[in-house]
Amino acid sequence: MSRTFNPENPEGLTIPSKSDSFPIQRSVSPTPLLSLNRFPQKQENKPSHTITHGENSVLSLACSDKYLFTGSQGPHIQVWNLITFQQEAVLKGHLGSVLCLTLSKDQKVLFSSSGDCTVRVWDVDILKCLYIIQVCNDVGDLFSVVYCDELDTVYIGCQNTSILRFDLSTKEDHQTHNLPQSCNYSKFFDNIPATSNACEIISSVEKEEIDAKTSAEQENVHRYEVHDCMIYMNSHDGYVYSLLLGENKDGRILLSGSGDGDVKVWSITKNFMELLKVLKGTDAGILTLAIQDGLLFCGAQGGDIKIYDLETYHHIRSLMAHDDDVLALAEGDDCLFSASADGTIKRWNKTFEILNTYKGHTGIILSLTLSPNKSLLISGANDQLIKFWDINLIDDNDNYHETVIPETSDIMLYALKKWILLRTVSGKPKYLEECFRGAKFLKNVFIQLGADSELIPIATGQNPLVFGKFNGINDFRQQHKRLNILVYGHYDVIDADEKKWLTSPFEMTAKDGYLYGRGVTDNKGPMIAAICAVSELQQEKKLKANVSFLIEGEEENGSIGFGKTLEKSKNLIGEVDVILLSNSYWLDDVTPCLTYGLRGVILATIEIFSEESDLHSGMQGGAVSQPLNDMIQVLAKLVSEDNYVLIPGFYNNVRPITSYEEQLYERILESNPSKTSETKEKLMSKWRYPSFTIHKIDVSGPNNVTVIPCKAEASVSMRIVPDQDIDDIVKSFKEYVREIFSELRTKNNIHIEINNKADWWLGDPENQYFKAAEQAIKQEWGVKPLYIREGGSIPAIKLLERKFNAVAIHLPMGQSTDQAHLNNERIRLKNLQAGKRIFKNLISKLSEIEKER
Amino acid sequence: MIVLIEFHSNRPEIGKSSNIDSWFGRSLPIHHKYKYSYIKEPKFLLYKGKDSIQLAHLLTRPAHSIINQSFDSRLRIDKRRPINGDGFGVGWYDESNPGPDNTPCIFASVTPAWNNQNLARLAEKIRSPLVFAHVRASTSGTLSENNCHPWKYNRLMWMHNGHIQDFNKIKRKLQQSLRDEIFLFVQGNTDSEWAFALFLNQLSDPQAEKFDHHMLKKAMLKTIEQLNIWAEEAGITEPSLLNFAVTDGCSIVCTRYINSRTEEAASLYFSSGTNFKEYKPGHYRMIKADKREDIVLVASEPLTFEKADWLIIPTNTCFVITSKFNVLLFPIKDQYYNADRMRKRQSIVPPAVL
Repeated sequence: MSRTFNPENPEGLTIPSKSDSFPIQRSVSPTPLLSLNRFPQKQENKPSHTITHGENSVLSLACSDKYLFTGSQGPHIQVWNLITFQQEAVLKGHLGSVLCLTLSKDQKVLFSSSGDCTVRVWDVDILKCLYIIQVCNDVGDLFSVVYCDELDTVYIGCQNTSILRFDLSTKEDHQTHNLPQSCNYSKFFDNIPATSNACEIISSVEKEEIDAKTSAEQENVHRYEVHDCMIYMNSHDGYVYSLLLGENKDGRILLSGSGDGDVKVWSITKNFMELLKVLKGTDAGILTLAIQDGLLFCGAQGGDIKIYDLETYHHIRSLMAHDDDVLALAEGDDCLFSASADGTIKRWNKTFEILNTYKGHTGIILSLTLSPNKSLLISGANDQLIKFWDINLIDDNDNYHETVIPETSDIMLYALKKWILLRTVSGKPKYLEECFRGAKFLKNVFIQLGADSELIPIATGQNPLVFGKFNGINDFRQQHKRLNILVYGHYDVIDADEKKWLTSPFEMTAKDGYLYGRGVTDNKGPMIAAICAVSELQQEKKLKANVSFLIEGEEENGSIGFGKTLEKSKNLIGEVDVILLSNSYWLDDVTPCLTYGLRGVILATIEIFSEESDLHSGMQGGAVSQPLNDMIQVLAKLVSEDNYVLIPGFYNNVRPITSYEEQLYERILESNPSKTSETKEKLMSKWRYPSFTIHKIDVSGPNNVTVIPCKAEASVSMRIVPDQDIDDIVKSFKEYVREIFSELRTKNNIHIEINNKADWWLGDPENQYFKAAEQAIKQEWGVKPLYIREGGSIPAIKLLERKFNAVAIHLPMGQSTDQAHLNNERIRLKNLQAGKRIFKNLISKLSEIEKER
Repeated sequence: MIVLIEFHSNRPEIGKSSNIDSWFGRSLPIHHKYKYSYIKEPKFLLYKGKDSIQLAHLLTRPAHSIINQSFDSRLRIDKRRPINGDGFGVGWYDESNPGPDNTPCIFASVTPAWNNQNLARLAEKIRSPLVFAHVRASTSGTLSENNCHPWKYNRLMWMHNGHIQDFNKIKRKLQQSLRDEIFLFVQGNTDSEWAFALFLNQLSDPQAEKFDHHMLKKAMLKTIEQLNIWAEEAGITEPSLLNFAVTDGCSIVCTRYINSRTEEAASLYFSSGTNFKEYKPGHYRMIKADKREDIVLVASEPLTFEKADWLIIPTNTCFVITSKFNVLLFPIKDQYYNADRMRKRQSIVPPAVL
């Protein structure tokens, strides 16, 4: 959405100062090779996404194909969707910190161990608690839990140095109706003092406990108790921090790492567990364990990783891996990851050399896991963040061979990330080169994704248009001509004040399910989504229409030269039946919208000046005609006290409201009850009635309170609506200003300049194209979109409609809080992904319409 | 009230009277049949943290702080006299001085802890990463500052919760065994201080600048072993309650011990986590924001009412906090070791009515 005329962003029209005119200096191209080519980026150690966990440290992680499960010092387990990076559910039930999470091999069951002395077992499909394993004995925090699928047994490492074994196949024999800890009478706690201040003693968990008790009764979750004989007391001397299952010549083994510094190897069979070997350590506690290729890795306090051969139980070597305690290990394909209290994650190859160091967290990294396909490394820390590291980007081999468009990775995000790096700010000479790079980048994207593409120059010093065309498949059964669709958008962006951004504006950052960066929502994100949608259709051989893209580089600068260039390149573009664009936002954050109207705009400057130079008001005041005084008189007559525009005939052609239109407004208000401040009148004033604004008045001279300036210059704008004629309005505005000026008894001169104008646009929500868009949106989001209008202006849309005699449909992709043009611009990943699918669906649907013709 | 019902069902009648006693402000006459009715029970508390703690958070502010424990001591074996009013002592190490001259500072007084303005004032200002605190109910020795726990010897600090049964019968043997410099160091006349002397005597160089927890643990176990030998020699049949704590300013070794196969030692709890947080005035919780421990608290009685925060140290266990903040629990496997007692819940039957 163009807000060039927004008074807060007047840069588009101002003459750049000299300091602005130096082009951006780059030592290295941010996008070497072709746009979508990837090559091993050794330096790529920034997270691909970050999730804010809340106020708690992230203590434990488990990752399935679909979800990430996270446990923290708070009692709830959070479930995150791995595609949208947004919270999917919260698993409630525990009363203490969730210290360990683990999944069964088939990913159907999740086990969570907690400081509340219980292990909860969850169904991963329905995200409900299946049953609870609890301990009657006073074992303290349950630091670690592992599940042996083959033996159907869980093993639990405890604070009181014991290891618990619980055979799930026999669990029915151990059912209990007691709540945890009610079975073990405690002289202290269960004998709450009988003193006068007894009422003051309310445990902070008491309420939660009561809640949990009630809900436990309601949800009817079975509880099973670990019997005394399944508790291996004093398995270690210290807390049992880590458990791990393995296999070697001794059969199935369980490894336990403890604060006493030892690792113990236990032989496990059904209903039996026996100590095989003690791998004696030092005072440095063992906090985490991992096995890879028959080697056991033990993360220790102080920062060492000890390596043992699991066949011989020989200590092979110790790596001085980190500067502080090693808290988590994860085994990847051919490599090992270690995370530490020093805030770094390191990647090790088979010869124990560091391949990479990831520094993203600001605190202690407490947990680490890999996605099941080993492409994503996930880390949790006490900075309350979860970070995702795309480990496919890094190649193990030292030879830099490039990989061209891997099929599995998401091209859309990769392309967007690289495109955001290019500072395609229009209207500022210093960014000219960069804009050209941005245009070339886009051209290459088109070519690599299967389109024909070329740059269409406008004029020297102006950014070219990028044209790309995907041809539909030749379907001989198709009786009629293929439909021609034109997608319009822009690659230029508004400049960004880096100091006011939380992240670097020209480096796409993913956080909490949102992508941040200048241009992610206006308009690079939606354009990449649309391009990828069409490319996918083409690859799937389902593209039955010709889809062209016309992506301009001067949109934020008032689409300078767009009309003329369009005229010149009409042949290149060819016929167009439908125009699609996605350059505005939903009305709120939840309801998808279709935009069917935009206001037009006329931006003008009124200049009143005298023949004299600036004068001293004490010496000359009263004796001369004063330009600013005249300006005030003129402006005062343009608009009334109640904002009524006084230009004669201004309202003559404003289209009356129809009952159909009223219904649309009523639907918006019904579906949007949270925005109570919005009234129908307010929406109409913003969207369907014209308005007049005085943006600023500049004066000549030193801006001193004793100077009569010789020149005053006012910037004004008018937003115009159907069916006002833009040229008529310009004409009557000029005439009226001259007329009221001439009535002033002044010797000054006036000059009126129309700086820019853009016509209004109004689509027909009832036409078949809009209906197709409505269906496509409904199929994606499950709700009918709201039909809305916008108070802003996009100059190109009406031009395109006229030029090609086509119909435009405007599908907003982002949410109202996307902060377009503002600091911390963003788009929700879910919206971008949904946007791509909607474009795909819509283009298929539009092709069908043509068939019926 | 539910709590009360459970209490009745779990405890013999004898407990009821003492419980009702506390319900009514201890004004009812009590018909006690306690075996150890002469035992007066002190309380102790120790703190080791990666960061220093303001003493007030341990001593004065918690609703069930050691000061408050001194007049509302719920786990006392002797229910007749629920007040520990025979003085108190606090010992701490300087937070800013990790050097070899970082010996502990001790502040002790014979006035009741809850009544001592100096303690309240100091606790608001002093911060330390390692604190010992003790409230006394004198079992032996006169009421004198020399007889207040903790005691120090160069870098080492010691306190004791319990008593040595029939100490007078073994006192001479004990003193006889000491090296001169240790014999002469003792100022007071309590069993606890002489036990400290016995402990020091197990160390080859008690003046050393550096110890480690292995050395301290070894000396501690030898001290207990020696006391057991002398008790046997002297024909003492009643058990001693030997909850000792010693530190060199880096590691802490303490015991929960009784020289009996069947009875329970005086209570001792521990709690570990990352932050001892006051969530509302007087009420604290142990926060666990990390797998590892930043704070370890050991106390005769829990300082908070958060059940999940506290774990009982099993009877006859040597409890060690290493300089790396690892908490280790070693069962003391001597002639009084009883694995069955380990398995059972320790506090189901209060020791007083055995």
